[in-house]
Amino acid sequence: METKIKILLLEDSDEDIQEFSEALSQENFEIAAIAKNIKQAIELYNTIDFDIAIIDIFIDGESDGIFFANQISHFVKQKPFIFLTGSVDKNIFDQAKLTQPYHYLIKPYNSLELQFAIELAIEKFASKEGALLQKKPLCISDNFYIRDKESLIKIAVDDISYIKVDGAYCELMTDKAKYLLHTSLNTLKNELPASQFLQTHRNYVVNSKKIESIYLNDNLIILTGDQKIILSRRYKNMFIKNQKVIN
Amino acid sequence: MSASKCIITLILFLIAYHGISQNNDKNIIAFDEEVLSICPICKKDKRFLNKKKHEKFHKSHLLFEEGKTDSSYVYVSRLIEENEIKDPSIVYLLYVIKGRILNDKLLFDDAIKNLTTAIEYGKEVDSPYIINIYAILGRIYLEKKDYQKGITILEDWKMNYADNDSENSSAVFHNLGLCYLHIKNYSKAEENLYISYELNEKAKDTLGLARSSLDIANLYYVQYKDEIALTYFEKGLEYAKKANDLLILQNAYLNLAIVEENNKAFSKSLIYRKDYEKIKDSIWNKEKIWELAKKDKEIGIAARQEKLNAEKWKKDLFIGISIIFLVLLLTGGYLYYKTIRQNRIISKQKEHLNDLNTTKDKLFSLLTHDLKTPMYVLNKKLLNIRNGKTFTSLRNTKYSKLVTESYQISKNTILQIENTLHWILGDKNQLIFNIEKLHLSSVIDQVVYDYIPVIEDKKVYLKKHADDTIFVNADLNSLKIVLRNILDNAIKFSHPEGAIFINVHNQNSICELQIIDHGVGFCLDTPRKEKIASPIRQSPSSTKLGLRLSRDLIKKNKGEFKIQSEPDKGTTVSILLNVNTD
Repeated sequence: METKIKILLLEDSDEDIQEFSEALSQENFEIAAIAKNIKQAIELYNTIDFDIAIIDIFIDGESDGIFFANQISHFVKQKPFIFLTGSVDKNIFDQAKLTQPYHYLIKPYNSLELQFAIELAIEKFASKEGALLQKKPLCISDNFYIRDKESLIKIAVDDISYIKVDGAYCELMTDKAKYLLHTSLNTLKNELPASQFLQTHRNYVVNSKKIESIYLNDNLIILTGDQKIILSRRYKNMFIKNQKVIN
Repeated sequence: MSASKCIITLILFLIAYHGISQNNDKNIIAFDEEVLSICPICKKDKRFLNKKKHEKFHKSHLLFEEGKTDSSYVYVSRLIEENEIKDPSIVYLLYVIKGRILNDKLLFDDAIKNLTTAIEYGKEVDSPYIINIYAILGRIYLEKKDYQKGITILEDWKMNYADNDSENSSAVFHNLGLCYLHIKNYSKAEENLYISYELNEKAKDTLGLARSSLDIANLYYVQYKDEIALTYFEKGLEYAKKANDLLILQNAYLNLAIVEENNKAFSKSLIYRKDYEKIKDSIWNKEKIWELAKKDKEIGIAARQEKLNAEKWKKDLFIGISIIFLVLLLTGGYLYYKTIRQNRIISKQKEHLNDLNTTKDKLFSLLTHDLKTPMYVLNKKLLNIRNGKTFTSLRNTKYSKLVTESYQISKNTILQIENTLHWILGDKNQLIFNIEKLHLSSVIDQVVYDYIPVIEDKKVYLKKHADDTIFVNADLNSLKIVLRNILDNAIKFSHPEGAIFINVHNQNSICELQIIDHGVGFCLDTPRKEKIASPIRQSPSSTKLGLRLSRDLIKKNKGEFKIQSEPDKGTTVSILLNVNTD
């Protein structure tokens, strides 16, 4: 099950807000909050839960967006942010660049460009440029970001049921969907909390929070959603040991 | 007789000369005393101390006393000219000094003028020295042989001052007598010469007595009173011997020799003549020495003159060089000033030009921005209509066609505005240009996305073949503009239901992006003609601008831009970009 990617928008013009929400047509994005000035933006930045900030450079005709970006660079809470502007002026760009934005999107933009900008920003934030297009997941705090069927998907770690190796790929399973990732099981395992995700088989890693019942004799584990996972003899002892610790 | 007369004249001359020279020492002492009593600085009169004119006067008489007559003359002349000193006693002295200097220089006419003026002032201040001026004047007239004037001036003295017994009186009377003698007024001459004789006798001046005796002798001799003349000649000789003055003695001998010769007393005459010759020799020796000294002096003067000339030449040279240098300096200064002014004008013009340029750029960017935004809004609205639910029911009606056309026009205008903006500002590095790692396939998708409605409307088949793993090094913004231009052209010049292929493949770290259409194509030499019944009236120049801009932008991205086209077969644009291998 995927959760929506939450956006904090700093934008003073209603038309531009309208424009933005139209471009953000995909279902997996949502605007968490809109700030119309810096004061609001700083307050919202620290209080609400969001994944990425999108900042219009010109607020009321001043380059307040750059000022805001400068401010948040001193905060403990760090999130990726994108500059949004109609200006192609080099001076403004050079000023903006000093705040080390994760992307710089020029108006007008279409929804594909917006999505791409967000993807790039998240990749850059995780220091894994190009990962999403190569079908590699990104892990930022408790979330996985995956590019699936041309769209960016956010999956909470807790929502993952299990991961199964399928040749050169890994299948990431949630209650409702299956995502194909071009990465190794070991790499994925390293990204996940070890106490929560337990290996049951050479090809399986299971989210212990999703376990409904364990049939040790049958070497079978039943997850929520009635998914059946094999528990191999080789990983049995280790699994039981870890399971006890959790319980 | 005529010969003897000639000689007598000579004798008289010599005597006259001596009459004055004898008194020179006395003159000087008398003059110095008078100066001391008048000069305020010598008197240490505090009222006049520190006054420039008085200092000048003091200096002038000091110089005169030291014998530096030239310098003294300059001071005196200037003081007289400036006419600042009003004290008549000083003015009197000034004229005296000037006159005496002129007299020493034998400039008699000027000397007379000054001394006459001096006498006028002297009478006014009642100067005791005035007698000397009369004496000098008298001598000058004698030397000028202007006897009548000499008599006038000396008679004037005789009337006013003869009573004041003075040491000089005998000389003055003597000179007056001589003047009368010359104009053959013998009685007056006799009278004055006797007075002179008596005065000399009184003063016991043997030289004066010798001279007076000889003169009286001559007086009688020219009157053919030979007897008396002879006694006076002999008396003169005696006095001359006592006085020990060679010239007088020589004259006495010569006169006696001539007189005795005329009396036919040849032996006596011969003795006198011999004595005369003896003295002449010793005088000649004296004269020779004197001449030598004079010559030395002349040589000295010549050397000094030479030195002065050299110094003058040096001075002239120095002045010449100074003038040249000054002229050069002034010229240089002027040129420097001119250059500075010119530079200032140039820099001002440059500033103005820069201002104009900045304004122009600002205007252009404002214009394009302000055009772009409403155009984009219009485009968006048309797209919304096109995508609206009611629109499908109107498909293929006149209305739907209008909307589609309008949408395309707005889309095209946006592209042209974008092109213009980049064309103007991109050249000056005023636009964002940031080469970074780009996923080429995604960039193509983003550009194509905007053309989906147009492609659908024209029923063009577009196929992209792209290697998903390719990343290139390029500037996102400029790459998008290039792709938009090429794609726009490809769609525009495709036949309805034609095909466009976009291929991306990798060749040794160079990525080739091809956009191939099978539309009208064009001859590479001539601009492409729009043969398609397109509602978009796009001028060839705008297409050209798009292509040229694309070529420039790809070059800026360190890539290569190639275009191939054949009329009626289609166009292939290929762009080579550097692959990012990180």
